[in-house]
Amino acid sequence: MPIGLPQPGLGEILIDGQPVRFASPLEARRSGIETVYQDLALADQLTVWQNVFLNRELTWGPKGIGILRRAEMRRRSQDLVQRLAVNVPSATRTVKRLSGGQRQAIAIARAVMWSRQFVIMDEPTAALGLRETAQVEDLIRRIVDEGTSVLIISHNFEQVMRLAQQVWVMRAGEVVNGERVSDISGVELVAQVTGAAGMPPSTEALTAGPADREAN
Amino acid sequence: MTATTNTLTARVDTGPGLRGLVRRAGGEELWMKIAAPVSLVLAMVIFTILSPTFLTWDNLDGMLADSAIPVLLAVGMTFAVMLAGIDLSMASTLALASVVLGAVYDGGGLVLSVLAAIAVGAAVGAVNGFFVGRVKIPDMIVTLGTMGLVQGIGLIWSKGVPKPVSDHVLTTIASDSVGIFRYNFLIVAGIVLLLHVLLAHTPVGTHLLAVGDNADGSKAMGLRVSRVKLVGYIVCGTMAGVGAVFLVLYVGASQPATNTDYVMKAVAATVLGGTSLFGGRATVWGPALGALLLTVLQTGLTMVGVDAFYEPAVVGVVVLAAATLMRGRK
Repeated sequence: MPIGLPQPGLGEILIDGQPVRFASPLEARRSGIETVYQDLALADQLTVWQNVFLNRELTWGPKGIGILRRAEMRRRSQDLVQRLAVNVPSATRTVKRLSGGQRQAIAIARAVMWSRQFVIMDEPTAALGLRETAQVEDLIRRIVDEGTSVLIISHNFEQVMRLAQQVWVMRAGEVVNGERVSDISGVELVAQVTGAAGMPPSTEALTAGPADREAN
Repeated sequence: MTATTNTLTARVDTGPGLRGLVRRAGGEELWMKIAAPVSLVLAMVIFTILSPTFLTWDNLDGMLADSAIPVLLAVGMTFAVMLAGIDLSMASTLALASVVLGAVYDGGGLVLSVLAAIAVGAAVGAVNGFFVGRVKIPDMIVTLGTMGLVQGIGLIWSKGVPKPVSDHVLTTIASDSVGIFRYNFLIVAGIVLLLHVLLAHTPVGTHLLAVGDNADGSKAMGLRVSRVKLVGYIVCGTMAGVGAVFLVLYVGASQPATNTDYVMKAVAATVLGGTSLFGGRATVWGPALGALLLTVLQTGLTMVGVDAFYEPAVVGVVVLAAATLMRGRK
């Protein structure tokens, strides 16, 4: 699938018209596809800037073993959270000191910073309360306005209707419908999904995203 | 959104100073951070009051020399503990490396034998790291296994007999000084500084902490978890190898018998130095100070007439207390 886990059984993935195959999440990242995992993949005891630059550290000297450019990474992380108006006071805080919404925002900001194609978000608000959900949705709208394509995996139909411009409905591992959100109602969406129990719809905001076909 | 921002800023907006620090870091975390330096100063003050000869340069110099091996093992152990692991094989690795040093010294000379000892340490660390990271066996079991294996090899090779190594360079390192500090202290300080740079100022250090904190998340961010673990255990084993060199220059002979105290002391110093036993949080200077503190306690207690038999019990209590303090984190 588009992040390299698991391998697709059928079909192909095209980026800018070129077929690609990802053996690992790392390869997908190298192609500019960033993922915000449902569990966020943050190291709680590291600082915000260390997480933002995790495995992409800026260094002086040889790559991998050079000396960290800490000040520059701090500054760029601070710029990032300020640009996205993520209400995180300082990039030097450890992630575990942040609220659930802030942690989600950091994971999203990190993905936005590094993505060149689009960002996949797996259930971005599943663990959040109402107010934090609203904040994160705000952030998602803002990064879409800034020009990042976002693919959200969500089982929250109201959220899909609020955020998405294009929706793909998946049932039993197959795409059963793809439509503009403006052409479909929430009730219809629910009806399509509940053809089989518990299949989450996929939605994508912005049409500028890559050709992305998933099959079985 | 605005309301949340306000409350958050209000909560966070604490200036420097102790209260701000406590609020920002949380009491327990702050305590873990300052435990070693504060206890060290306290112990120094108390022993200075109790014993007139404690605060003499002779005694301080002696304690710094005594702390060389505990410091090396503590900072090495830290690289396993920060991965949420442990290396129980450190003491027997040290013993084997000293045997190798003794064996290579005759014919090979000093430089070769020292390099061989360090290489043996690194190799045992690599074996540990391979089984922990790649084969995915729990660290306790792996290092318990290598502990026995490595100890056995050392005993078989040496037939259990210590081998004298008298080399004037080693003697110089052990007893001569540059300025007021002995060579051995300066070398250990240099190694500690080097490892500090590795941990705090290179990507390797960040990756070690990230993997120790959240292995799955690190993998999702493209880190090769097994390789990061391998690096941590190699650093740990290498420090056991370096420790062997200091043991040989300290006692003037190889030591095939394992001194199991070393492992417990290294773990104690590591946790005293604020390293999280659950991984992901560590410094190098903290455990180094922790090891220094244990040496000061040992020397001080002896000077005020406390039986040396109390020492293991004290260290054991320290480990349990520190682990209890950390319980519930993560």
